[in-house]
Amino acid sequence: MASNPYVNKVVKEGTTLIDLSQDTATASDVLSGKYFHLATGERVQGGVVIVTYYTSSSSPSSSQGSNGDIWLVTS
Amino acid sequence: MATTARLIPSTYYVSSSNLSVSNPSSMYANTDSTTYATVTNNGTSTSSYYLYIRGFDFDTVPDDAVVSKIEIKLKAYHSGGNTSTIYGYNGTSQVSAAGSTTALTTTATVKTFTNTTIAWDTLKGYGSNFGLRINCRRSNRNTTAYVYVYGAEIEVTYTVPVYHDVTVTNNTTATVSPTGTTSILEGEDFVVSTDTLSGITVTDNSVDVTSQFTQAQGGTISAVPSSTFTTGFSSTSGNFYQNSSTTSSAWLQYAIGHSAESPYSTSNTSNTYVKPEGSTGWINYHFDFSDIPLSATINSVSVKVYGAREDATVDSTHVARFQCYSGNTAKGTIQNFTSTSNGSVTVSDVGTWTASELHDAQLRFELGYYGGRMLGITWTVTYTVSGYIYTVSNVAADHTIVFSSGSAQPELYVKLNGTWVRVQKAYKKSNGTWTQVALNQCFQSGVNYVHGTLNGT
Repeated sequence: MASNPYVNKVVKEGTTLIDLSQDTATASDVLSGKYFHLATGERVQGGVVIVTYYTSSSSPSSSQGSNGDIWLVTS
Repeated sequence: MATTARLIPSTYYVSSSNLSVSNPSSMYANTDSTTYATVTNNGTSTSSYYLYIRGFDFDTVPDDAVVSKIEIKLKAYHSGGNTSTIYGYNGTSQVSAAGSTTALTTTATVKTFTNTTIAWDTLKGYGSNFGLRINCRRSNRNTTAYVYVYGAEIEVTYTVPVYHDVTVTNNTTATVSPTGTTSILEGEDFVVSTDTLSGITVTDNSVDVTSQFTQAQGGTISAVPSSTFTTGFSSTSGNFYQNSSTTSSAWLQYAIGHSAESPYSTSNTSNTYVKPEGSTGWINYHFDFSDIPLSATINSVSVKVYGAREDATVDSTHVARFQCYSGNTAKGTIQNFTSTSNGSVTVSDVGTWTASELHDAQLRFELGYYGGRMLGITWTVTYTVSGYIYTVSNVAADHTIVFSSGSAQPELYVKLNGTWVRVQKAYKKSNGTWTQVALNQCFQSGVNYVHGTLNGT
């Protein structure tokens, strides 16, 4: 059995100080750019991407929105 | 139309007092005359004495006439004489270019000069000095010689150019050339270049032309963008027709037999542009060239369209392009509208055509979802039949529209305030710039989207 290279549980003198082994968060649960630890103790980056979209009856101007945003023109 | 004038003499001159003339006025007639003047040689030698018949009325022919033929004739005979070849003379000098005719005989004969090459202006320039010289020499000393002259003439065949003052009045803001009044030689074409036929009045001040001109246009003179039409004059009927000269009268007949529909091909939506719903399709505009004989040689085909694309982007979704067709066979190459502003575009490549192919001439206007406008189509075909060149232009589309659906295009809806609304366009911002993207490229799996709010959204 391969040993876990990460630490996910700390016990001192019979007392559990921290235990990540039962955590269930994954990368798809955390925003992209944020970090968290898996149940194994590995530190990973979140993978959730959120894009803002706007709806309008007219085309966007260059001063509006941010890079990556979407603009939908509806009739 | 050519006219022939018969110029008759009005004077005579004798080179010797040995010649006497009786009834001289009888020779002042053309060669149809049956009465004669008598010239008697009263001398006693065989010397040559001459009669000069002069005073031809050159002023009968108009100054601006274009002379196509000059023929000199003399009706005369002799008795007891020994005459010689008859020439034209300027005073007492022979005019070789006037030609000559053989000596008189003893029988009254109409003699026509041969080898007459003289220019009209030269002949006319001699004026009353020009005459026909007849030798009245005795054949022997003891015999009186007589010359009998019935008449003489110079037949001049000519035409006089007729000019029409044609006034072009432009009641529009379009570019029209020429405007004002132009003097046009009858039988020649008169061409007016204009961006529109609407509001243009062409009037021939020489004849009443309004009805003929209207008829030639099939009852309606409708706006055709950037077109050229040609008018002309019929030298035979005196009427003013579109292209009614030898070349263009056939054009007129063709036009009358034609559909009088407007050359406009209007859009099929209230938004003034054609926009297939969720598909790429096309409209075939059909043109009736059935009056062009199958034996005709097609010299040129020119097609001009007037319209625009609805969206500046040119890709598989943003389609607004056109191409000539004969039936289902594409001709030339496909061409895009490149501007979102209405404008005239000449089809750069229409391919090569036969008369048979023109009988099923079409222009296919292909459209994507974002659509385009086709506001006018003009065909101009020049062809040759039996050596005559004809031009057909401003042929109206018959508006038989064939619409065929093509491949489906993506549709995207968003729910706003409880109602699903169709998305017309989509943009994505990158490096500070909004760029239009296809609807099926807006959203990606694995990405979460939130509806933002900004001023104007």
